[in-house]
Amino acid sequence: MATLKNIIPILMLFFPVATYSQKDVWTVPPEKAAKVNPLEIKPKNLTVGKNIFSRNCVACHGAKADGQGLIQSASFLTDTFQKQTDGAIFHKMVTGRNKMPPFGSVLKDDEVWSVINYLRVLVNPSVLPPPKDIRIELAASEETHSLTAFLTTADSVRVPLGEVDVHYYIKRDFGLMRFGEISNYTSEKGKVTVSFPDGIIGDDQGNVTVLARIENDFLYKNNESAVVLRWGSLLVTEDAKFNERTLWGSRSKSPVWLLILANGILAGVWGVILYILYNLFRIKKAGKIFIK
Amino acid sequence: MDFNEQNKSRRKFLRNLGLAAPAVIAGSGVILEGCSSPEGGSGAKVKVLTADHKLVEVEVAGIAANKESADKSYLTKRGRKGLEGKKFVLVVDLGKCKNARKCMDKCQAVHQLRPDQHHLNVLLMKDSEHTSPYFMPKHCQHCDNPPCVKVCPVDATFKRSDGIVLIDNERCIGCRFCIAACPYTARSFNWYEPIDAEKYKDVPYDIEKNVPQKKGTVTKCTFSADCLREDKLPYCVSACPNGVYYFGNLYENAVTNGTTGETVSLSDLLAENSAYRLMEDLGTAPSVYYLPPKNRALIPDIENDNSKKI
Repeated sequence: MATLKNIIPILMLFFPVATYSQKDVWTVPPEKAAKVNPLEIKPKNLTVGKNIFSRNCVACHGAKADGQGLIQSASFLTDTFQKQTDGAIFHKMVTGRNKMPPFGSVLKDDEVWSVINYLRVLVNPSVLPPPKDIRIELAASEETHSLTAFLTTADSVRVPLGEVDVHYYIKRDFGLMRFGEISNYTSEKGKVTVSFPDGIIGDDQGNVTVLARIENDFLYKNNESAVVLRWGSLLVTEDAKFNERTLWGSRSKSPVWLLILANGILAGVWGVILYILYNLFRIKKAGKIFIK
Repeated sequence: MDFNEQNKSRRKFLRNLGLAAPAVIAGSGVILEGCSSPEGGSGAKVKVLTADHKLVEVEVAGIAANKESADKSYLTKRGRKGLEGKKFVLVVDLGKCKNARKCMDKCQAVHQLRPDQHHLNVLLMKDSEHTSPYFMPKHCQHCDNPPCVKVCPVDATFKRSDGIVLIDNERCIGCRFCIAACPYTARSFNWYEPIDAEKYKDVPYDIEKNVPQKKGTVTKCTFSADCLREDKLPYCVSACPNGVYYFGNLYENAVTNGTTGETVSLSDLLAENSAYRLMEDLGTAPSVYYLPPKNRALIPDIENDNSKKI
C-alpha cells in the first residue's frame, strides 16, 4: 500500500510533463513580443529574406514553408503562426528551442526581420502591388570581360529600376551555373555589372550562353535575358583516346597484338590439321601406287 | 498523218482527263468522308485517358493504333553510339546520404528489377572498429578502363564515347564473365523470370534503359542513358531527397545537384571536398567520384539499429 502511494505521485508527475511537451506552447516574454519590425516590405529585403529562407529554413520547414521538410516542423502558413507579432517570431528565431537552432548567432537582426517580412508576404501576397513586367537588357563588354544588366520598366517611359537583385548564370547541360556575387543589386540607374569568370568551357566554338534573371517573384514577374558569347574555351573531347585500340574496345578496335595472337593460334591449329589431312591423303595415294 | 495522229491522241487524253477529274474528286470525297466519321458514327463511345492526363470521350470506331509507336527498332540501334561532346560523371556526397533509398526504389521500378537485384545499392559501410559507419550509394562506376567489357566474349557489353558502359541483352549469352571481372560488384544476373515478365512480353527491348529484363542475362546500371538523351538527369539523381548526387558533363566541367538543381564547377567541387574514386589502384578509372562523409546530418547507429537493415 505504501509503495502504491509512492508510485502514484511519481506517475502523476510524468503524465502532465508528457502531455505538456506534446502540446508544446512556446511562450514569448511580452516585452520581446512587442518589439517592432523596423524594416519595410521592400524588394531588397524580401530578396534577402527569401535567400536566407531557402538556405537555412527549407531543409526542415519545407520549400513551401508548410512544415513538411525532412523533419516534421512548424508550418508558417497557419493562422497560429501568422497571428503572432513580428517581435514574437523574431524572439523564436533568435533563441531557438529543441530542434530549432538559435539563429541569433548566425544572422544579423536585419536579416531576421527580412525573413519575417518574407514569411508574411508568403501567406498574404496582397500586401504587395501586383507583379510588374520589367525589361532586362544584357550588354557584354569585350575589353573587361564583364556583363552589364540594365533594368527598366517594360512600358515606353522606361524608368530605371534600382535595388533589384540580378542573378547571372551560365547555361550547362543539366542546369544553370551561377556566377557573380551572392547578390548583385542594381544601382539607381538600373545597372549592375559583373565580371565573367575564367576557365569556363563553351561548345566546340567556345560559345557560352549567359543568362541574367530576376528571381524576385513578388514585385516583378520572373524575367530573364540571355546572350550568347564566344568567351569560353573550346570544348575538348577525348574521342581520340576513346578510339584507340584497347582491350575493352569493340571488335573493330581490338589491339593488333591480340588480333595476331588469336588469329595466329587459329591458323596454327587449323594448319596442323590440314597438314595432317594432306599427309594422310599422300600416304593413301602412295599406298595405291605401291599395291599396283 | 504523223502530226495529226499525235494531235488526236492528245485530244483524246484531254477528253479522258476531263471525264476522270470529277470522278476522282467525287471518289476522294467519299474516302475523306469515310475518315471523318467511320460507319456513319455508330454512337458507341469510350472514355480514354490522353497523354496529358485528360479524360476524353471518343467513338469506338474512330480509334486507331498509334502509328508512331509501331516501329521500335530504333530502341536497339541507338544505344551503341555515345552522345557527342559529352562525358558523364556522377559525384556522390556521402555526407548527405541518410539512407532514404528513394534512388534505389526509383531505379528498381524503372528498370523492372526484383527487390534483390541492384543497379544501385546503398551500403552501410564501416571501415574498421573505431571508425564511424556511413551510408554509401554504389552504382556501376562506368570505368574508362572497364574490366567487364574486356572479358565479354560476344561484344554484348560495351563502352560508349560518352563514358557509359551498357549491356545489350539481345547479345548477352549469360556467361557472367563480366560479373566475375567487375571489382565493384555492380552487375547482377537474372536468375529467374523478371517481375511482370508476362506484362512486358511484347514490349521491344530498349538498350539504353535495359528493359524489359530477360531471364539468363546480366543487368547493370545504365546511368539512365535514355534520360541523358533528352538532357534530363538520371532517375536516381532526380529522385534523391537529400541532395546526395551531382551529375554532369566532364568536358563542360559542371555538375548539377539532382535535388536542389544547383550547378557547380566539377573541379572546384572535387578539390574543395577532397574527392576520391573507389579502388583507384586497380587502374579502372571510374566515372563516379565520392566526397568523404563529412559534416553529416545523420550518423548511423549500428548497435542500436536505428537505421534500416541493408
